[in-house]
Amino acid sequence: MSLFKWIGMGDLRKPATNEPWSSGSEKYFGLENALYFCKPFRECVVNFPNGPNDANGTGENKAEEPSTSNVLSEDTLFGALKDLFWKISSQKKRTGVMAPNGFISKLKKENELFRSTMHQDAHEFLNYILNAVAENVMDQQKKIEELERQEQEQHCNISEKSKSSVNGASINESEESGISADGSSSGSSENTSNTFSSKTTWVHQLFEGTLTNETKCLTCETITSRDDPFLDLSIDIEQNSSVTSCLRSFSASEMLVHQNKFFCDVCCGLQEAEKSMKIKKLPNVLALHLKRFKYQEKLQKYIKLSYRVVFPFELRLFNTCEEIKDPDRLYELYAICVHIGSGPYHGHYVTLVKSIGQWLLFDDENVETVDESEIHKYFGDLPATGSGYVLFYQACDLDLSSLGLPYSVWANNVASSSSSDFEVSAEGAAAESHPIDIQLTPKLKREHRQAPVREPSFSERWILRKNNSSDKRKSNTDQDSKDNDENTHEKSSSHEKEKLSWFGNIVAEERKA
Amino acid sequence: MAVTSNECKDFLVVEGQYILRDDISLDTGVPSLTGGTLVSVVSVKYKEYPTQPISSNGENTIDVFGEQNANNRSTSSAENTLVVDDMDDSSDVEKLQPAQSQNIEPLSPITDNISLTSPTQTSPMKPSNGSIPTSIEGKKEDDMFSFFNPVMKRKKTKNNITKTTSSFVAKIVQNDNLTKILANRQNEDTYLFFNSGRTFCWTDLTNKPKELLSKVIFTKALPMCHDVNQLTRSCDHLDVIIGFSSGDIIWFDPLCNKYYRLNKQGVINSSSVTMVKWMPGSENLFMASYSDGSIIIYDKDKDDQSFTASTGNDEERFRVSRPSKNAKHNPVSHWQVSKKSVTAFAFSPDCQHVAIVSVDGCLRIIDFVEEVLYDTYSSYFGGLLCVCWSPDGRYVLTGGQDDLVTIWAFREQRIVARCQGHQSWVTGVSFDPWRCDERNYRFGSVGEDTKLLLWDFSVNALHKPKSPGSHRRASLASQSHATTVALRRNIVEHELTKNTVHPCLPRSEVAILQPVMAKSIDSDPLCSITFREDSIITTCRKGHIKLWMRPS
Repeated sequence: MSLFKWIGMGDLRKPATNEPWSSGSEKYFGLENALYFCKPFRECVVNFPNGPNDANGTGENKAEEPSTSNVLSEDTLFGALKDLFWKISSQKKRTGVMAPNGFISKLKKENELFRSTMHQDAHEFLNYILNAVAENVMDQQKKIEELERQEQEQHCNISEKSKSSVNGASINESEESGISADGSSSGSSENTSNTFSSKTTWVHQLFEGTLTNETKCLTCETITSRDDPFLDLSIDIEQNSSVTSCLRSFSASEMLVHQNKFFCDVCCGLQEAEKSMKIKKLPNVLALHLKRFKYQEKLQKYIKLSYRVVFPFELRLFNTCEEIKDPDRLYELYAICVHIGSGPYHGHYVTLVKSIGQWLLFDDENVETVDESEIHKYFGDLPATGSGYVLFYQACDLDLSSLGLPYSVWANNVASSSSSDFEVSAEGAAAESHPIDIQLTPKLKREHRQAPVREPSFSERWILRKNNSSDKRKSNTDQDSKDNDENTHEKSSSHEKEKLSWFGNIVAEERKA
Repeated sequence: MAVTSNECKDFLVVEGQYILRDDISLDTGVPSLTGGTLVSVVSVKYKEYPTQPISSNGENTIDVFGEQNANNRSTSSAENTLVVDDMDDSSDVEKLQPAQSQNIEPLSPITDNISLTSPTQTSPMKPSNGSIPTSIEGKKEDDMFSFFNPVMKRKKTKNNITKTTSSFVAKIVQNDNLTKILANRQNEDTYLFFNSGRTFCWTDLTNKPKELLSKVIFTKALPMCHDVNQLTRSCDHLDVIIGFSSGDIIWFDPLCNKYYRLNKQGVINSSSVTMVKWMPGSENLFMASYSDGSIIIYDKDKDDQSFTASTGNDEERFRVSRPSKNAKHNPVSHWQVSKKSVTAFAFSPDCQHVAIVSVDGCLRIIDFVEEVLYDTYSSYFGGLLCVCWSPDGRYVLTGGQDDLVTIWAFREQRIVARCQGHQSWVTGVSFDPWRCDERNYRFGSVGEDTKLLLWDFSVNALHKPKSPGSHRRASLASQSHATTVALRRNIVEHELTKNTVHPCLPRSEVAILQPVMAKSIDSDPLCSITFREDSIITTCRKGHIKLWMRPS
C-alpha cells in the first residue's frame, strides 16, 4: 500500500508505469533498437584490459568536432547524451521505450572500442563516458569563457562565478543559452588552449576524489607521497566480504619487495618499500567498481568471481588518511549496476536505481519495482540474479551550492512549473545546476547495460524532488491515459501529498540557503 | 560459490583450545538463504532431583534467564534475579505434577500477564508467584476465570500435527525410536531445535545430536525463528513458538505433537516474522518482531482478530496501539518501532527492558512494561542485525552492516566502544556469561565473513583512537570517567531519560576494541552464536550447526 503511494502509481508490477525516470529509461533503451541490443556494453575486460581510454576518446572528440561542425547543438558524445536525455525528459507519455540510436551511433563513432558488437564492460563504459563528457564539458566551458570575454558586459555575473572552479552558473548558462552558442561557435572553439582549464567540470565535482599514495622506503625511511585524482575506485574483492572490508584492504599497506621494488630517489636505487593508498578527498558521488573479472594465470584467461560481497545501503569510509576534512562522511547507495552471467565474455547487465525511495530494476526495456529487502539477491553468490558490479554511493550531505547551482535557479523554475517537466526537474533536482547532469543520469540508466547510472542523483533529496515534481505534473495526463480507473483516485491524492511535501522541502531548503 | 568446505576443527584462545565436537546439518533440507539457521536450546530434567540453586545448573545457559542467573548478583536487578529464580523453581514444581491437572494452574500467570498492561513495574514479576497465587490475586483470577475458560477448552482442541490436514504443514517425520528414546531419558536432557529451509528440527544435543527426534516440514512458508519457553518446560510439555516468513506463528509442543497457529495467514500482520521470544517470566505471552518494522505481543492462548494499528503522525518514533484491556483476542499489544524491518531484539536481565535493532540502523531501548521508548542510538552506518545484553544488564551489544560490534552502556546512555575485526556484516553477538565478571567481559560475534571473533572487554582498558583532536579526546575521556564514577555511585537511583536520540559519534571520539581471537570457522556466512556452559554453538546460512567444546 505504501508503495503505491510512493510511486503514485497503480500497479506496481507493471513495468513501464512509474516515475518519469523509469519511463524515460524505458523509452530510451528499449525501443527495439537492434543496434542497441547488439551493442550492449557487456563486459569484456579481456578485450580492453587497459581500462580508461580517456586519451583516445577525447582525442577523437576533439578531432571530430571541428570537422562535423554545426550539427544540432554540438556533435560530441556529451551532446548526444544530452540529446538523449532531453528526448526522454520531454516525452509526453509516462511510459514507453526509446531507442538510443543517436547516442549509440555517436558513441561508436567516437570510440572504436565500442564499434563492434562485442559485449562491453560496464565499468569501462562508465569510465569512458565520464571522461568523454568531462572533456566535452570542459571544451564547452572554455568556449563559454571565450564568449564571456568577448561579451563581458552581458555575462558579468557568470564570469564572476566562473572563477571559482567550475561554476554551475556558467554551466547553466551553457545549457540554456549554450546550445545556440555552441552551435555557432563550435567550429572555432577548438583552439582555446588550456588557459582557463582548471581541470574541473561538474563531472569532476561530482565524481572526483583524491587518493594519496604514500610510499615509505624501508631503507632510508623517506616517505614519498603523491596525490592522484580518481573518478571511481576499482577494488579487489574477496569471498564473503563486505564493500567496507574491500575498501579497507584496498588501502591496506602493501610491501614492495622482490621484483616490485621501489626506486627511491634518496637512495638512488631499488629498495624495499611499504606502500599504501588512502583517500584524501572524498568524492560527492562515489563510484565503486568491484573487480569481479580476474585474469587467472593458470587458465590463461579471465574468469568471473561470483563472490558474495555485501554492500550496505549506507556507507562511511574507513580508509581515509588522517588529515582528511570529514572522515565520517555518510554515503547512501542509490544505484547498482549488476552483471548477470557466469563468465566474463558474455552476460547481461541490469541496473537498479533508487528513486523516490523506491528501487527500480532496469532490464532493457523492462522496468519494475524491487523491494529493498530483495537487494540482497545481488550480493553475488546467486548466479541467477547476478552480482553487483558497479555501485554508486552519493554523499548525504551533498552541498548543492558548492556545486555551483544557485538555489534560486531551480527554486524559481519549480515554482513557475515551467513547461518542460524535465528541465525543471533537471535543474532543480539535478542539483547540480546542470540540466545536463540530470539528463545524464537517466541516460546512463538506459544505458543500463553499459554504465550504470552514475550520475543521477546528487543527493537523494534532490532526486526526490525532481521526480516528485515531474510526477505531479504528469499525474493529470497519467490519470487520463491510465486504464485502471480504480487507482486514479488514490494516485491523484498521493500526488497531491507529494507535491505538498515537495514544496515543503523547497521552502526548507531555501531557508537553509 | 563457496564450494570448498571449511576444515576448521578448533580454535585457540587464551584459556585454551575449543574443539569442534559436532557438525549438525540436515542433508536433505534445501538451505534457506533468506533467513539462515538459528537454534533454540532447552534443558529438561526428568526425574526428581535435589533442590539446588538453578543458577548453578547448566540448564539456564541459553536464554535470558540463564544468563542473568549466571551473573548478575551485583547489579540493581539482584532483586529481580531472585524473583526469576523463584520463577524457575515454580516451573520445576510444575514439572513434578501431572500435566493434565496442570491446565488450571498456569492460568494465574496468564491473568497476571494480562496485567502487564498495567503500568506497575512489578507486573512482569508477578507471574513468579503464579503457582501460589495470593488471595488478592486469586480473587482477580476468579473474576477473570470465566473469561479464560474458553481458552482452556480450546487448549484441548489444538491440532495434532501428526494428523493434521492443514495445507500449512506438509508432514512430520518422527524418529522411529522416539517413544523409546523418551522413555529412557535420564536425569537431564538438552534439546536443540533448529530451522533449515522449510524444515523445523528437534534433536537431542547431549546424545547423538545428528539423529533427529522429529522434523516438521512446512509447505507455504519458511520457519525463520523460534524460541522455547524456559518457564513451562517439563518432561512432557514444551512450549515452542515458531515464526514464519508469511507472518504466521505456530505454537508447537514437540512432545505432544500439538500445535496451534496464530496470526493465521497474516491476519494481524502479513510481513515476515524476524524474531520470536517468550516474554520473560510469562507462560503464554511472547513477542514477535516483523519485517515491516513492528513488534507484536501475542498471547498463545488467544484467538486472532484482524487488527489495524492506529496511525499517528510520521514524526512519532514509537507508537503503541493495543486493543482494549482484557481483550479476548490477539494482539495483546502492537508497537510500531521503525519504518524498516526489525531484525532482532533482546530482553534485559532485569526483565523490564527490551533492546530492539532494525535495518534502519537504530538500536532502541524500550521499557516493555511501561511501553516507553528510552533511547535511540545510531549505528556507524547501515542497518543493525543482532543485539544482546551483558549478563549484568549494564551493556548492550549490537552488530551490523558497518562490520562493527558496538558496545553501548545502558545506564550511562552512551556508546562505549566500536569493535573492529569483522570483514563483513556482523550477524550474531553474545556474551559469554561464564567468562564475565564485574570488570571484565567476554563476548563473541559471528558474521557474514564466516568468522568467529572473541573479544575481551573491560571499561578501564579501553584506549581511545589516536587522532589529531587530542584535546577533545582528553576532555571526553575525563568526562566519561566522571560519568562512570557517578554511575557506580548511584546506579540504582539513576533515572533514565526518556526518548533520547543519540546521534552517531565520529570515529575520532569512540574507543576501538580489537578481538582476542578471529578465525574463519565455516565456509558459509554465519548466523548466530550461543554460549553454553560447556560449549559454543554457531550456525550458518546453509544450515550447519557447529558445537565447539570449551577447553577442559
